[in-house]
Amino acid sequence: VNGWIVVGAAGIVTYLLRITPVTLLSRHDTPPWMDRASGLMVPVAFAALAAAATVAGLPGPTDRLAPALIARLSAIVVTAVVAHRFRSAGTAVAAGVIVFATLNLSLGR
Amino acid sequence: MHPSADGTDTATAHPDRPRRTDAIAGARAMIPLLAGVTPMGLVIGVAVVQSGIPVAVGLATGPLIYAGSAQLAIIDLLRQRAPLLIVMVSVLAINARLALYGTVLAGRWRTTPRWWRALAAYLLIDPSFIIGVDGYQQRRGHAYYLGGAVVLWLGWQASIVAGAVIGSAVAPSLELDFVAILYLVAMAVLKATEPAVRVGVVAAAVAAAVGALLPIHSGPVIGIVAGVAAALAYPAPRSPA
Repeated sequence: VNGWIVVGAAGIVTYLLRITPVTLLSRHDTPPWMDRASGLMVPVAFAALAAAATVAGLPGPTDRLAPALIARLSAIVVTAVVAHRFRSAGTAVAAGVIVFATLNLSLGR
Repeated sequence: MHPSADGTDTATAHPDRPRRTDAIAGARAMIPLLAGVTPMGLVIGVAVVQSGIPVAVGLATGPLIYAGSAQLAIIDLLRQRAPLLIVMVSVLAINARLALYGTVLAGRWRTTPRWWRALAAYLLIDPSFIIGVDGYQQRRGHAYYLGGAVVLWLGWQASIVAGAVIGSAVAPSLELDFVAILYLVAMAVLKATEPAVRVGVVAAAVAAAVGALLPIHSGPVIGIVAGVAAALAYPAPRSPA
Protein backbone atom coordinates (compact mmCIF):
# COMPACT_ATOMS: atom_id res chain seq x y z
CA VAL A 1 0.00 0.00 0.00
CA ASN A 2 1.24 3.51 -0.83
CA GLY A 3 2.92 5.11 2.19
CA TRP A 4 0.97 8.35 1.76
CA ILE A 5 -2.34 6.46 1.96
CA VAL A 6 -1.24 4.65 5.13
CA VAL A 7 -0.04 7.82 6.85
CA GLY A 8 -3.11 9.78 5.71
CA ALA A 9 -5.50 7.09 6.96
CA ALA A 10 -3.63 6.86 10.27
CA GLY A 11 -3.86 10.64 10.59
CA ILE A 12 -7.63 10.58 10.05
CA VAL A 13 -8.11 7.75 12.59
CA THR A 14 -5.98 9.61 15.14
CA TYR A 15 -7.86 12.86 14.64
CA LEU A 16 -11.21 11.07 15.00
CA LEU A 17 -10.01 9.65 18.33
CA ARG A 18 -9.22 13.20 19.45
CA ILE A 19 -12.28 15.06 18.18
CA THR A 20 -15.08 12.50 18.70
CA PRO A 21 -15.36 12.73 22.52
CA VAL A 22 -14.83 16.49 22.38
CA THR A 23 -17.74 16.84 19.94
CA LEU A 24 -20.08 14.31 21.56
CA LEU A 25 -19.54 15.44 25.16
CA SER A 26 -19.40 19.18 24.54
CA ARG A 27 -23.18 19.43 24.92
CA HIS A 28 -23.26 17.91 28.42
CA ASP A 29 -22.01 18.80 31.90
CA THR A 30 -19.03 16.83 33.12
CA PRO A 31 -19.95 14.32 35.87
CA PRO A 32 -18.09 14.80 39.20
CA TRP A 33 -16.13 11.56 38.89
CA MET A 34 -14.72 12.77 35.59
CA ASP A 35 -13.48 15.97 37.20
CA ARG A 36 -11.66 13.85 39.78
CA ALA A 37 -10.37 11.52 37.05
CA SER A 38 -8.89 14.47 35.16
CA GLY A 39 -6.64 15.26 38.13
CA LEU A 40 -5.54 11.64 38.33
CA MET A 41 -5.05 11.17 34.63
CA VAL A 42 -1.80 13.10 34.25
CA PRO A 43 0.49 11.13 36.62
CA VAL A 44 -1.28 7.89 35.75
CA ALA A 45 -0.77 8.46 32.01
CA PHE A 46 2.91 9.29 32.60
CA ALA A 47 3.44 6.08 34.54
CA ALA A 48 1.61 3.98 31.94
CA LEU A 49 3.49 5.50 29.00
CA ALA A 50 6.85 5.07 30.76
CA ALA A 51 6.20 1.45 31.75
CA ALA A 52 4.90 0.43 28.32
CA ALA A 53 7.80 2.13 26.53
CA THR A 54 10.33 0.53 28.89
CA VAL A 55 9.02 -2.98 28.21
CA ALA A 56 8.61 -2.35 24.48
CA GLY A 57 12.20 -1.12 24.21
CA LEU A 58 13.73 -4.26 25.70
CA PRO A 59 15.54 -6.69 23.39
CA GLY A 60 14.08 -10.16 22.86
CA PRO A 61 14.90 -13.16 25.06
CA THR A 62 18.62 -13.18 24.31
CA ASP A 63 21.70 -12.75 26.48
CA ARG A 64 21.24 -8.97 25.99
CA LEU A 65 17.94 -8.96 27.90
CA ALA A 66 19.30 -9.12 31.47
CA PRO A 67 21.83 -6.25 31.10
CA ALA A 68 19.22 -4.10 29.35
CA LEU A 69 16.67 -4.82 32.07
CA ILE A 70 19.15 -4.05 34.87
CA ALA A 71 20.29 -0.78 33.25
CA ARG A 72 16.74 0.44 32.56
CA LEU A 73 15.22 -0.53 35.92
CA SER A 74 18.16 0.90 37.87
CA ALA A 75 17.94 4.21 36.00
CA ILE A 76 14.17 4.37 36.56
CA VAL A 77 14.48 3.69 40.29
CA VAL A 78 17.21 6.33 40.68
CA THR A 79 15.16 8.85 38.69
CA ALA A 80 12.08 8.20 40.85
CA VAL A 81 14.03 8.47 44.13
CA VAL A 82 15.83 11.68 43.10
CA ALA A 83 12.56 13.22 41.85
CA HIS A 84 10.89 12.39 45.18
CA ARG A 85 13.82 13.67 47.24
CA PHE A 86 14.73 16.86 45.35
CA ARG A 87 11.38 17.68 43.65
CA SER A 88 13.17 18.50 40.39
CA ALA A 89 12.54 16.75 37.06
CA GLY A 90 15.79 18.00 35.52
CA THR A 91 17.96 16.75 38.39
CA ALA A 92 16.13 13.41 38.42
CA VAL A 93 16.52 12.84 34.69
CA ALA A 94 20.22 13.80 34.82
CA ALA A 95 20.79 11.28 37.64
CA GLY A 96 18.92 8.58 35.71
CA VAL A 97 20.88 9.22 32.51
CA ILE A 98 24.19 8.98 34.40
CA VAL A 99 23.17 5.65 35.97
CA PHE A 100 21.88 4.33 32.63
CA ALA A 101 25.05 5.29 30.73
CA THR A 102 27.35 3.98 33.48
CA LEU A 103 25.59 0.63 33.67
CA ASN A 104 25.48 0.32 29.88
CA LEU A 105 29.25 0.82 29.75
CA SER A 106 30.05 -1.45 32.68
CA LEU A 107 27.70 -4.21 31.51
CA GLY A 108 29.23 -4.10 28.04
CA ARG A 109 26.05 -3.15 26.16
CA MET B 1 -20.84 31.10 30.15
CA HIS B 2 -20.20 33.46 27.26
CA PRO B 3 -17.27 32.53 25.11
CA SER B 4 -15.73 35.24 23.03
CA ALA B 5 -15.03 34.76 19.35
CA ASP B 6 -11.54 33.46 20.03
CA GLY B 7 -12.80 30.83 22.43
CA THR B 8 -11.92 32.51 25.71
CA ASP B 9 -14.06 31.11 28.47
CA THR B 10 -14.86 34.09 30.62
CA ALA B 11 -16.03 31.90 33.51
CA THR B 12 -12.77 29.93 33.59
CA ALA B 13 -10.16 32.59 32.89
CA HIS B 14 -9.20 35.10 35.53
CA PRO B 15 -11.12 38.23 34.50
CA ASP B 16 -8.21 40.64 35.09
CA ARG B 17 -5.57 38.66 33.23
CA PRO B 18 -5.04 39.32 29.50
CA ARG B 19 -5.21 36.30 27.17
CA ARG B 20 -1.69 37.07 25.95
CA THR B 21 -0.38 36.63 29.50
CA ASP B 22 -2.06 33.23 29.73
CA ALA B 23 -0.71 32.17 26.31
CA ILE B 24 2.85 33.15 27.26
CA ALA B 25 2.51 31.40 30.63
CA GLY B 26 1.29 28.23 28.89
CA ALA B 27 4.17 28.39 26.42
CA ARG B 28 6.66 28.78 29.27
CA ALA B 29 5.14 25.89 31.21
CA MET B 30 5.52 23.71 28.12
CA ILE B 31 9.30 24.27 27.78
CA PRO B 32 10.40 21.57 30.28
CA LEU B 33 7.90 19.10 28.82
CA LEU B 34 9.16 19.89 25.32
CA ALA B 35 12.73 19.27 26.51
CA GLY B 36 11.57 15.90 27.81
CA VAL B 37 9.99 14.76 24.53
CA THR B 38 12.60 16.24 22.16
CA PRO B 39 14.81 13.11 22.31
CA MET B 40 11.80 11.08 21.14
CA GLY B 41 11.35 13.45 18.19
CA LEU B 42 15.02 13.06 17.30
CA VAL B 43 14.64 9.28 17.45
CA ILE B 44 11.66 9.44 15.07
CA GLY B 45 13.65 11.57 12.64
CA VAL B 46 16.53 9.11 12.77
CA ALA B 47 14.09 6.20 12.28
CA VAL B 48 12.62 7.90 9.19
CA VAL B 49 16.04 8.08 7.54
CA GLN B 50 17.18 4.63 8.61
CA SER B 51 13.91 2.83 7.72
CA GLY B 52 14.30 3.23 3.97
CA ILE B 53 10.76 4.61 3.48
CA PRO B 54 10.42 7.90 1.52
CA VAL B 55 11.66 10.67 3.82
CA ALA B 56 8.71 12.94 2.95
CA VAL B 57 6.24 10.22 4.00
CA GLY B 58 8.08 9.66 7.28
CA LEU B 59 8.27 13.38 8.06
CA ALA B 60 4.56 13.77 7.24
CA THR B 61 3.72 11.57 10.23
CA GLY B 62 4.64 14.63 12.35
CA PRO B 63 1.84 16.98 11.29
CA LEU B 64 -0.62 14.29 10.12
CA ILE B 65 -0.53 11.92 13.11
CA TYR B 66 1.25 14.00 15.76
CA ALA B 67 1.63 11.21 18.33
CA GLY B 68 5.16 9.91 18.91
CA SER B 69 4.56 6.25 19.77
CA ALA B 70 2.15 5.83 16.85
CA GLN B 71 4.55 7.58 14.50
CA LEU B 72 7.37 5.22 15.43
CA ALA B 73 5.09 2.19 15.06
CA ILE B 74 3.84 3.31 11.64
CA ILE B 75 7.35 3.97 10.36
CA ASP B 76 8.32 0.47 11.47
CA LEU B 77 5.19 -1.10 9.95
CA LEU B 78 5.77 0.76 6.66
CA ARG B 79 9.32 -0.57 6.63
CA GLN B 80 7.92 -4.09 7.07
CA ARG B 81 5.27 -3.43 4.35
CA ALA B 82 2.53 -4.42 6.82
CA PRO B 83 -1.10 -4.49 5.56
CA LEU B 84 -3.19 -1.34 6.03
CA LEU B 85 -5.54 -3.13 8.47
CA ILE B 86 -2.67 -4.01 10.82
CA VAL B 87 -1.46 -0.41 10.74
CA MET B 88 -4.95 0.92 11.57
CA VAL B 89 -5.46 -1.52 14.45
CA SER B 90 -2.07 -0.54 15.85
CA VAL B 91 -2.88 3.18 15.55
CA LEU B 92 -6.22 2.68 17.30
CA ALA B 93 -4.62 0.74 20.16
CA ILE B 94 -1.69 3.13 20.65
CA ASN B 95 -3.74 6.31 20.37
CA ALA B 96 -6.85 5.19 22.29
CA ARG B 97 -5.64 7.26 25.25
CA LEU B 98 -6.25 10.40 23.17
CA ALA B 99 -9.98 9.65 23.36
CA LEU B 100 -9.66 9.53 27.16
CA TYR B 101 -7.89 12.90 27.12
CA GLY B 102 -10.61 14.33 24.88
CA THR B 103 -13.28 12.96 27.21
CA VAL B 104 -11.69 14.72 30.19
CA LEU B 105 -11.27 18.09 28.44
CA ALA B 106 -14.59 18.09 26.54
CA GLY B 107 -16.43 19.68 29.45
CA ARG B 108 -13.88 22.51 29.67
CA TRP B 109 -14.16 23.23 25.96
CA ARG B 110 -17.90 23.00 25.55
CA THR B 111 -18.45 26.76 25.43
CA THR B 112 -15.79 27.37 22.80
CA PRO B 113 -16.50 27.83 19.09
CA ARG B 114 -16.41 24.77 16.88
CA TRP B 115 -13.22 25.86 15.05
CA TRP B 116 -11.46 26.29 18.38
CA ARG B 117 -12.41 22.77 19.50
CA ALA B 118 -11.25 21.38 16.16
CA LEU B 119 -7.85 23.04 16.57
CA ALA B 120 -7.53 22.21 20.27
CA ALA B 121 -8.36 18.55 19.60
CA TYR B 122 -5.77 18.37 16.81
CA LEU B 123 -3.12 19.65 19.25
CA LEU B 124 -4.15 17.22 22.01
CA ILE B 125 -1.33 14.90 23.04
CA ASP B 126 0.24 13.87 26.35
CA PRO B 127 2.18 17.08 27.19
CA SER B 128 -0.56 19.44 25.95
CA PHE B 129 -3.14 17.47 27.97
CA ILE B 130 -0.99 17.96 31.08
CA ILE B 131 -0.62 21.69 30.45
CA GLY B 132 -4.35 21.95 29.78
CA VAL B 133 -5.40 20.18 33.00
CA ASP B 134 -2.86 22.14 35.05
CA GLY B 135 -4.01 25.39 33.48
CA TYR B 136 -7.70 24.82 34.10
CA GLN B 137 -6.95 23.83 37.71
CA GLN B 138 -5.12 27.18 38.11
CA ARG B 139 -8.16 28.96 36.56
CA ARG B 140 -6.15 29.95 33.53
CA GLY B 141 -8.04 30.57 30.29
CA HIS B 142 -8.05 28.54 27.11
CA ALA B 143 -5.14 30.66 25.83
CA TYR B 144 -2.91 28.89 28.37
CA TYR B 145 -3.63 25.52 26.73
CA LEU B 146 -3.24 26.90 23.22
CA GLY B 147 0.03 28.73 24.02
CA GLY B 148 1.59 25.55 25.38
CA ALA B 149 0.17 23.29 22.68
CA VAL B 150 1.43 25.46 19.80
CA VAL B 151 4.95 25.62 21.26
CA LEU B 152 4.92 21.84 21.63
CA TRP B 153 3.75 21.33 18.03
CA LEU B 154 6.48 23.58 16.64
CA GLY B 155 9.19 22.03 18.80
CA TRP B 156 8.05 18.50 17.96
CA GLN B 157 8.17 19.06 14.19
CA ALA B 158 11.58 20.75 14.51
CA SER B 159 13.01 17.86 16.55
CA ILE B 160 11.84 15.30 13.96
CA VAL B 161 13.42 17.27 11.12
CA ALA B 162 16.62 17.65 13.18
CA GLY B 163 16.69 13.89 13.76
CA ALA B 164 16.27 13.26 10.04
CA VAL B 165 19.09 15.70 9.23
CA ILE B 166 21.61 14.22 11.65
CA GLY B 167 20.26 10.76 10.71
CA SER B 168 22.94 8.13 10.60
CA ALA B 169 25.29 10.28 12.70
CA VAL B 170 23.26 9.14 15.74
CA ALA B 171 24.19 5.66 16.89
CA PRO B 172 21.14 3.54 17.85
CA SER B 173 23.06 2.40 20.94
CA LEU B 174 22.64 5.89 22.42
CA GLU B 175 18.98 4.99 23.11
CA LEU B 176 17.93 8.65 23.14
CA ASP B 177 14.28 7.66 23.58
CA PHE B 178 15.08 6.38 27.07
CA VAL B 179 15.63 9.97 28.21
CA ALA B 180 11.95 10.63 27.44
CA ILE B 181 11.01 7.60 29.58
CA LEU B 182 13.05 8.93 32.51
CA TYR B 183 11.33 12.29 32.13
CA LEU B 184 7.92 10.59 32.31
CA VAL B 185 9.00 8.74 35.47
CA ALA B 186 10.19 11.95 37.12
CA MET B 187 6.97 13.79 36.25
CA ALA B 188 4.78 10.90 37.46
CA VAL B 189 6.58 10.98 40.84
CA LEU B 190 6.35 14.79 41.10
CA LYS B 191 2.64 14.78 40.27
CA ALA B 192 1.72 11.87 42.58
CA THR B 193 1.32 13.87 45.77
CA GLU B 194 -1.70 12.05 47.25
CA PRO B 195 -1.91 8.40 48.37
CA ALA B 196 -4.73 7.64 45.92
CA VAL B 197 -2.69 9.00 43.02
CA ARG B 198 0.35 6.98 44.10
CA VAL B 199 -1.79 3.84 44.09
CA GLY B 200 -3.01 4.76 40.62
CA VAL B 201 0.52 5.38 39.36
CA VAL B 202 1.76 2.00 40.58
CA ALA B 203 -1.30 0.20 39.17
CA ALA B 204 -0.90 1.99 35.85
CA ALA B 205 2.79 1.08 35.59
CA VAL B 206 2.18 -2.61 36.35
CA ALA B 207 -0.83 -2.91 34.02
CA ALA B 208 0.91 -1.03 31.20
CA ALA B 209 4.03 -3.20 31.50
CA VAL B 210 1.91 -6.34 31.24
CA GLY B 211 -0.18 -4.80 28.44
CA ALA B 212 3.00 -3.95 26.52
CA LEU B 213 3.61 -7.68 26.14
CA LEU B 214 0.39 -7.94 24.11
CA PRO B 215 0.80 -7.78 20.33
CA ILE B 216 -1.10 -4.56 19.49
CA HIS B 217 0.68 -1.86 21.52
CA SER B 218 -2.20 -1.69 24.02
CA GLY B 219 -0.02 -1.15 27.12
CA PRO B 220 -0.64 2.61 27.59
CA VAL B 221 -4.43 2.52 27.41
CA ILE B 222 -4.67 -0.60 29.62
CA GLY B 223 -2.37 1.12 32.13
CA ILE B 224 -4.32 4.39 32.15
CA VAL B 225 -7.68 2.67 32.64
CA ALA B 226 -6.30 0.43 35.41
CA GLY B 227 -4.52 3.32 37.12
CA VAL B 228 -7.52 5.67 37.12
CA ALA B 229 -9.81 2.84 38.32
CA ALA B 230 -7.40 1.95 41.16
CA ALA B 231 -7.05 5.58 42.24
CA LEU B 232 -10.82 6.20 42.16
CA ALA B 233 -11.40 3.00 44.17
CA TYR B 234 -8.92 4.12 46.83
CA PRO B 235 -10.80 5.35 49.93
CA ALA B 236 -10.96 9.13 50.12
CA PRO B 237 -9.37 10.64 53.28
CA ARG B 238 -11.86 11.42 56.04
CA SER B 239 -12.45 15.10 56.65
CA PRO B 240 -11.83 16.21 60.26
CA ALA B 241 -14.95 16.26 62.43
